[in-house]
Amino acid sequence: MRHAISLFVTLFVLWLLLSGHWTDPLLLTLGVVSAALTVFVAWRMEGLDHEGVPINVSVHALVYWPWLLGQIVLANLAVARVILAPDRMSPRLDWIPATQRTEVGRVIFANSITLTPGTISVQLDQRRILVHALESEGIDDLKAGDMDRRATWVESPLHAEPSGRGDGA
Amino acid sequence: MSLILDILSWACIVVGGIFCLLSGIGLLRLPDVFTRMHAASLGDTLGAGLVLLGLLLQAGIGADLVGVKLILILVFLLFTSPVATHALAHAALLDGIVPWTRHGRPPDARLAPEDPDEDGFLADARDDLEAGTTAPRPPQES
Repeated sequence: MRHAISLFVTLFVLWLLLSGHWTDPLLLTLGVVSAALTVFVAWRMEGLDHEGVPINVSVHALVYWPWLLGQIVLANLAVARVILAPDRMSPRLDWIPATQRTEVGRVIFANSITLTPGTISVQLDQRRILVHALESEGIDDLKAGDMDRRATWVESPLHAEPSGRGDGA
Repeated sequence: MSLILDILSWACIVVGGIFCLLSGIGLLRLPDVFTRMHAASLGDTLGAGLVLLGLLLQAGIGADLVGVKLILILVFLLFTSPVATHALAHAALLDGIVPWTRHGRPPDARLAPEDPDEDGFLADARDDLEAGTTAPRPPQES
C-alpha cells in the first residue's frame, strides 16, 4: 500500500508538472484517473514492490545525487585533460568489489561508475564489477571503495546512518 | 539582474559546447573503442548538462513549465546513457575486441563466464559467434 500511494503521488506530480493544468477540475480529474490507472496496471503486473517502487532509494538519492554530480564534474575535467594530452592515458580493465545486497543497489553502483567519465562498468557479477578505466587511477579510486559505500547506503533501509562519510575515505 | 542571468547562462552554454567539442576531438584522437567511449561520455554528462543548465537560466521555470521539462530531459539522459554505454562496452568485449593498453599486452582481467542457463540471450550470442554467423537460429523442433 505504501508503494501504491508513493507511486500514485509521484505520477500525479509528474502529470501536473508536465501538463501545467492546475485549475480545470475536469482535466485534474482525468489526471487523477490516469495516474490511478497506471498504479492499477503496475499492481496487476506485480511491479508494486521494493524493486519497482524503491521508496528508500528515492529518498537516499536526494543525498547521493549531489555528491555524484560533484564526482562527475571532477571526472569530466580529468578526461578532458587526457583528451588534450593522450600521453597521460593508461587504460586498464579490472574487477572491483561491490558490496550491494539488492539488484537495485548494484544497478545504482554500476550506473554511477559508467556515468562518471573515465570509468565504464562492463560486466556485473554477484560481488564484483568489471570496470574499464581510461586512467589507471580510476580503478584505484573505485577499489578504495568510497562510491561503493555510498551506493550501499542508498539501497539501505531508511533511517540508516549515512556511511561513506568521514569513515576513513 | 537579467544581465547577470544572461552572462551566467551564456557561460554555461559556451563551456558545455567546449566539452562537447572536446568529446568529439577525443572520439577522433583516442586509440580504441573503449577509450573512445570514455570521450563520448564527456558530451553526455557535462556537455549536455551545462547546455541544458544554460537554457534553464534563459527560460526560467516559465508559465508553460519549460524549465521543468528541461530538468526532466537531463534526468532521463542521466538515467539512460550509462545503460547504453554499459551495453555497448559489454557487447564489444563479448565480441572479442581486446582493449588497447599502454604496454601493448592484453589486460589480465576477462569477462566472467556467464551461466548459460541463467542468460539465454548471451548463450545464443556466443553460439552464433562460434558458428561464425549472427543470423537468428532456426526454431527448435520439439
